[in-house]
Amino acid sequence: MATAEGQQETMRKMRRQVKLRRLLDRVLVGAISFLGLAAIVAAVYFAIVVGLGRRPTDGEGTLLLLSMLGAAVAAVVYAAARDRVDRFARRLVYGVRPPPSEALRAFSGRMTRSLPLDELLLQLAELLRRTLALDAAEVWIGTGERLERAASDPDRGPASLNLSATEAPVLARSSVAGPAWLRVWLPGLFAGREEAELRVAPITHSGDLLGLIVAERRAASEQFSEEDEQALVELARQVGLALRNVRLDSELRASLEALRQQAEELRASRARVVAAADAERRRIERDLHDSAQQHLMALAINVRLAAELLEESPDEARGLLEGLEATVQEALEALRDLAHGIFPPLLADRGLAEALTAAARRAPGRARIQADGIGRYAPDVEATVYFCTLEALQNAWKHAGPAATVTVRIWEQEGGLLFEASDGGGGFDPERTPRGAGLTSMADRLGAIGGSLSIDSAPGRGTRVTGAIPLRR
Amino acid sequence: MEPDAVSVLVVDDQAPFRSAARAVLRATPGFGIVGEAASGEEAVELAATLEPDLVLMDVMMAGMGGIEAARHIAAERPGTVIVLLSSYREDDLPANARACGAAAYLHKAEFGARVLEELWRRRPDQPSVSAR
Repeated sequence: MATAEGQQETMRKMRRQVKLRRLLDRVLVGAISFLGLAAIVAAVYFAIVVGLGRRPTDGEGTLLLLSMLGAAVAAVVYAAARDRVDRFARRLVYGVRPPPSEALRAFSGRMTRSLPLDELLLQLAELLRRTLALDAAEVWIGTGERLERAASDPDRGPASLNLSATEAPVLARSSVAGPAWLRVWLPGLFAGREEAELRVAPITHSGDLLGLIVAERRAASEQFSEEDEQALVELARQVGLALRNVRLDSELRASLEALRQQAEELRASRARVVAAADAERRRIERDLHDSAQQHLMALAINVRLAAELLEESPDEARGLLEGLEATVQEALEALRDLAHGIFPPLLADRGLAEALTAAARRAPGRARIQADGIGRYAPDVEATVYFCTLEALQNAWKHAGPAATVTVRIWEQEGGLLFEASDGGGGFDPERTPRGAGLTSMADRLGAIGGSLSIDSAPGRGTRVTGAIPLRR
Repeated sequence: MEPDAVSVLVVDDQAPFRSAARAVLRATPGFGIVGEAASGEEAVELAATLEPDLVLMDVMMAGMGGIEAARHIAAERPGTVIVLLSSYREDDLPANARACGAAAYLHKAEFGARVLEELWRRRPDQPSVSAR
């Protein structure tokens, strides 16, 4: 700690010394150049009068000395006043330099037009440089801890600065910063312009640093006035608003895109649900046609035949009728299976745990059902869990093999009903494997009642399919 | 099967109907079953080798289907009488059912000895004046 303070003190001393030396140097350079100028003017004057004219007489000698002195004073005064005279001349030639507040108004006007951000920032840099008579103006933009030079006049190309976690908030809090402050908190900004006179106004919004406005003048140029600094602060505030708007805009676009994707997914899901319902109707029609209907058809033919045979060969008719009982039983069995496939009666009657246990007993593979702590739920919730679990079981046996034991667990958690089917099979990479029809129809089914599906699997690590359904209270 | 009996080939992918048709044909004098096929493809093959007088052809079968099989058989053996059968209503039949060379359509539930005899009596003298 003491060492750090000591170092800071040393740094401060060094900086004071540098500043003093720079001031002395400037005074010395000014004095020497003024004296030189005066000497040159006097020498030229003397050379012209004496060299090209004649020696001055007694009275003229005093006059000559006085006029030499006058010329030298005029030269020195001009040198001192040159900047002001220049500015006056420039004002005469190029017109009056607008006050910094003018820059604000001009920039505000541009912000109301829908210019692209980089164009707006470039215009800001140009405007700033012209209005504040800068040697360079730059706008840096960034997020968090990295700033990029987005616009500069004259064009200096891209550059970037990395800020530490402590530097960014310090910069965000400063309204306008001068060289001394910047050398501590943003020394990287001086790269290639060590002697420049810089002013930096942070562009912020809600305390976050969004960027910087950098105004640069050469050391020998005009000093930054308070009015200039105020203009920088105000411009930074406006750019902050503009950037905030741009970010809100891009966030809005991202949200819209996400919404669009959701709508598209919803539309596709609805189409799949309708297609699945149609396919289910087709399956029921086929099942009816191929099973019960065929048995009943044969029954009708045989009953008619028996009736026809009754008179001529009653024994044959009796034999035929006796054989028909089996056909009737087959037709009944087929109808029962079909009805069960449409909706298992045990599910409506006794709930998920019993219905799934019974279904697992009938299934071709081995399954362990753990559903002890659950109760009864809305019919759509129970049906969804039931059919999704059967689908998951079939999937597991298909991929992990019929010998695999699949564990099904159903439980309530945080206002939701959850189920999972896990197997110790070969697993797969869910990121690289497109979802099959089974998983897609499970996701659609769950999505239709506000639920969701997740797959946890990796090659060699088995598969766990989990579904979650919010329970309405 | 009597030597001058009408030889019948039964084509249906559903065993219950084939079995019922067998019983009916056994009990109907003058008709005898020569073969059974469970698909249109099999029916075309058997028709070529068994040369039946009458083919009882189910319409809805996977693969080639009854209509296409009837078309093949009618083209190869124009003398064969083909009767289409199905468990659908006649309006649910495909549009080309009446143009495939078959002589009649029968709902499966109506199938029996009497209707078989009636159909055979009414069979077209020339295959070319059938439904085509």
